[in-house]
Amino acid sequence: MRPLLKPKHYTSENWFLQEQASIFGRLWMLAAVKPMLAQHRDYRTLTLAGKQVVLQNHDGVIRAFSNVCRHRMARIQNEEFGNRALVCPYHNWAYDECGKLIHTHRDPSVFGFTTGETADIRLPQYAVATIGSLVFVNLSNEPLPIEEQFDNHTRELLERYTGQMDSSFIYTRYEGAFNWKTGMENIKDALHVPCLHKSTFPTYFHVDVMGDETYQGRDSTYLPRDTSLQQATSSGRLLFSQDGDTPTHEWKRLVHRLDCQGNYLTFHLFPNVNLMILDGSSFAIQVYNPLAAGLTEMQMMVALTRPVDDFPYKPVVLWEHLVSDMMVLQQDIDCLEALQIGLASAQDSCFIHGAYETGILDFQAAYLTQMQILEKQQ
Amino acid sequence: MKKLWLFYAGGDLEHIRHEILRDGQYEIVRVLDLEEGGYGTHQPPDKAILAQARQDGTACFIIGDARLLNQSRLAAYMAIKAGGGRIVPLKVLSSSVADGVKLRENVWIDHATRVLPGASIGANTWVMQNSELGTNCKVGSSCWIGPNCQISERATLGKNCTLGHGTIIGPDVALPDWSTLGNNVTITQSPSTTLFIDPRFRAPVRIFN
Repeated sequence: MRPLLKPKHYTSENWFLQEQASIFGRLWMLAAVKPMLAQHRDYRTLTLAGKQVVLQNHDGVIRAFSNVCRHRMARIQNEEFGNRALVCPYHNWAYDECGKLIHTHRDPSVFGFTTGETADIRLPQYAVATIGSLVFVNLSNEPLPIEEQFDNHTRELLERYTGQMDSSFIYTRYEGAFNWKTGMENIKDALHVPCLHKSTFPTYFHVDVMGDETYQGRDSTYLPRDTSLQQATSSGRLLFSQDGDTPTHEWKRLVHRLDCQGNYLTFHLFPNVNLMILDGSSFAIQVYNPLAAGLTEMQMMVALTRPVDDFPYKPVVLWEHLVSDMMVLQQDIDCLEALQIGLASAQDSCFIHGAYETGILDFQAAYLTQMQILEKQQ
Repeated sequence: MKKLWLFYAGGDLEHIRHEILRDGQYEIVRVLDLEEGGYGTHQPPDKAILAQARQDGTACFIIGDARLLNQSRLAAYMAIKAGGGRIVPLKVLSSSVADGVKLRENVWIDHATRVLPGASIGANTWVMQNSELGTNCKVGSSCWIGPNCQISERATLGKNCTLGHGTIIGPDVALPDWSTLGNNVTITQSPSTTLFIDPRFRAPVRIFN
């Protein structure tokens, strides 16, 4: 099938800048999970669409601000995770829970501001929305309703399932030299699992490459389906093998079991999140956060469902779970980095997509639709 | 010579047996394999066996390694303890342990290890060859201090920590429970969360527990 995207869409810095404005500066981005911000003053910093953002819990309310001090543009919160007030370490400018400047110096004559001059100084604030334990941020001045991005069914499932997420989690973040879209396309590519991950992917998952009904009846020229924003998010379900290979994990008796027990659920939240729920007892979340055309920040976290009994060895389960996922992910990233080099050196070539890759083309079609929306508005 | 039963739950049995035989403090009477039953579980040996050990006044020691963040060894230790076994610490003669340092149950102090005055070591913690525990440092229970490690003065390690060989923990550093550091890592500041540094991965992993 003819591809919808060309190598330049993955390698061009100009295209990347358009993408930052059209997609990441306009849509809701997964920025945290509630357990990251559980306590008063807990914060998380990250870069979204090129902007330095801090999410902070003040008395149970999570807000998002620019993490750049209005005085000298220094960074206010320096760590990725922490717990402290919104005070810039450079000259101690302090901001309240709404981002309003409340203190500059104990001697007002040092800055010489009048009350009127400081009244309007505040950190840019961004919209925050939560679904279950998922915390989304929208950087737009006029954020679209989150209901326009995720349909009722998706929101209802995410609310129901992630609302049962435990407060403990394991997390890592690192950079890979590839474009974020190839990461998302990779997770929609079922065929690579029995090939690339032959030795690392658990055998008790039956990956049915031909079982995806989304492309049944399509012809070889690819007919785009509904490319609306809500349809850009997709979900899938794999059944655990019943042939006895499935490991019995004692620890699963110690946690709340979701009604998706026995399944491997995936939510590909457009544009850049892969959320997996395993056997109704654990969550794995991968975020492909773009930093440049050829540079993506990978965020990976694993959490279990809330415990129903004493669970002293929970860190062991989290660690083993993450190691298992990371072994697979590491193979993906090594491959995607090589692919990125290939894309940069083959600008005149195109992908050759097969019938099973309709999910990838659906993603590309939805992506192009979103890229055009801002263009039309302008 | 005092009698000793070894319960084997993984790890390098030959290494431990070699050190015990070389020391000549204990006579190894029996070596019993423990069946592993998954996370946090070890099948305890038959009660009659442990009752016999108690009756004979025989000491017990559980051999394990750092698998499952030391929980495999801990589970075996707990199984023997629950069965009433008299579990002892073992200290190789070539090691140097300062006077007044208490060695708790199932602590292993390996060849050429130095434990300096004021150090505190939790039960079931293993300190491997050539490592040093500095003055007034505290090491929690069920830790694994790999070979050639340096725990500096006043440093604190929580429970279930694992240090790969050559790890250096600076003075006054506090490592949270479950911290797991790969080989040849140096930590000079206390991390805010449990830290995993694994050479297989590109960046540290953190546990928020």
